[in-house]
Amino acid sequence: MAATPETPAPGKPTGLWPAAQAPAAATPAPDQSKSDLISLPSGAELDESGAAKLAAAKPVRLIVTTGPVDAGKTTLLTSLYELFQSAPVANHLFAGSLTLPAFEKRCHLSRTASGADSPDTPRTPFGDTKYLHLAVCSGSSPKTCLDLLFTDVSGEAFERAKDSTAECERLSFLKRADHLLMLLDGEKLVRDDKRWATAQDSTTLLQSFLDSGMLAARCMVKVVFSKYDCLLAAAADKESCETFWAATKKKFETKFGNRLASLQFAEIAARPKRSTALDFGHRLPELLTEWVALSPRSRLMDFEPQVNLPMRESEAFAARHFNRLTAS
Amino acid sequence: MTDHAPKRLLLLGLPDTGKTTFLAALWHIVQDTDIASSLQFEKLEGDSKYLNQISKAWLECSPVARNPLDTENLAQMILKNGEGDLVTLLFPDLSGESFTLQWSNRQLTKTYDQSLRQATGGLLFIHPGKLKKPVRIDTADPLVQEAARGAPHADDANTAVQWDPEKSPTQVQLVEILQFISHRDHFQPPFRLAIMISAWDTIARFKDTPQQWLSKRLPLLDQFLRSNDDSFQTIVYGVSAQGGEYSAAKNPELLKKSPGNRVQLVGENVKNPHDLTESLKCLIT
Repeated sequence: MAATPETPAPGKPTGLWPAAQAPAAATPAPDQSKSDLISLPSGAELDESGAAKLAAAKPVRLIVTTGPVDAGKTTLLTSLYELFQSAPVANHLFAGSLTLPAFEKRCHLSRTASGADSPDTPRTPFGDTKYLHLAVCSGSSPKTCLDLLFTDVSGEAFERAKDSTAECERLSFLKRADHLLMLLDGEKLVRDDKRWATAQDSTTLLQSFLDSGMLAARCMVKVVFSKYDCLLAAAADKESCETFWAATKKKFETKFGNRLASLQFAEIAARPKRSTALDFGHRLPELLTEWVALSPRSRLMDFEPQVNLPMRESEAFAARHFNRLTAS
Repeated sequence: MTDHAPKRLLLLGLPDTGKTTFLAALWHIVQDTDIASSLQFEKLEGDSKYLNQISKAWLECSPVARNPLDTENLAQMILKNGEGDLVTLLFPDLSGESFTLQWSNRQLTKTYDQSLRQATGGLLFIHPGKLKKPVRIDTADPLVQEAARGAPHADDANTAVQWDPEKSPTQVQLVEILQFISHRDHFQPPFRLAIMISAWDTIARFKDTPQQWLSKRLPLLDQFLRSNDDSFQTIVYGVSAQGGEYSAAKNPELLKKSPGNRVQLVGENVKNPHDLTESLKCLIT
């Protein structure tokens, strides 16, 4: 779906919550004094101010999805939401959302109510950073709940960030990311003419994130082969695709393995269209489980000595001390 | 005047889900001496015109008039419980459209908010025949899927209709209505909520309990309620307040039944299936 380009003001950072905590530009409120109506929250995607307000009220986990235009970033989020429509996901219960209409709007083109013949996702317009919210609870006892915030940013912003560290510095939400997903468009990874550039663009983007100092050292990075059904459907080239993907993973590890707290890989098919071998939301439950279970912040708070390491206490102290400095 | 604090119970639900029919049947049941209801009619006080009107239509097996938008009928019943204590119940009966508008227009009326502030609990009505389901295209028709798999990526946005919030899934709208309640500044958890699956006679053949039906048919709402059990204390009932299809051609037996025996209530710990007041006990004790 074509999007109307919307360019943010030059130099304006997108996604820095502390700055957003300053009073937002006043929106003229409807005069309710004479009305019998009370306005309710719009339920639209959250802006910086809304995300900051939520983060101030309760601990949230920020999941940043990155990748070029049409890599499947928004579809990943809508498919996760759709999974909850029919059942708990990986033993996690849907516990609420401040952005239900925003999810619904994004799901519209994938539902029969749209009248469309094949499922689609509206393209996220280029502009200010937006967030979608999902609260989940463990299905087992004792009940623990968690608020997840997902960025919904146009791929164009990441294409710019790849080419310019100055542009990258505008993506200040990166500094707060707990989990970062780098989506590589599977539709391109299975094509001989596209795969090299696709992989190259992703490594360049991650390089830009790191060299600009925007990515917190604690952030857990996952490089994702999206639209994995494309690989299964590419019967003739399947082996070469797999070889290429293995080589790409190795390249990421070589280049960034020692610069990141965690670097992992995954293959997902949020809405498989080309193969019946994969279920809807393939591997999304596993991703959700990781987002819920693994918190880089809580890991940093673990100051207990690691008794299994053959290390003197003074060395252990130094290691913890420098880890904290690196992380901050 | 009564010397006890009235209990205000909200009737919640999207349009045409059986809120007013329930109220009409309830008004009859509490007055029907043949039904040993746990709450019995004590005396008339104030204006009973609205209750009498809807109850009359219900007795005649005529469709109970729907509430126009932006009107709120306040029904009052002065009852006594098994111990002889007086219980005054107030039911602000809003139109279902006003709940749809909460979702689609993001507004609620001050009178509803005031009722919410004073409410002891609520009854959330869901009609099994009126559910809007989130049907994904990929699950709808295998032929469509097959065609989509082989076809080049088509720009369906041109042929798709615009998103209409009112066509959003029922369970999503209901979750939002409950979130609106729990996000009000004056909200005091836990809010006691009876989930009323209306027209139960039409789905009783599936042999599910009301709770099982809710889990299967509205899983998102069910998950939300399980996750938020500290905010909403819920119990799920199946209710057939109308007793069956009103069309005489389709259901000639209905008019022959005594009105109280048309009613059915199904749920955990329901002792008398014709006693609708059993569904109120958990809200007012």
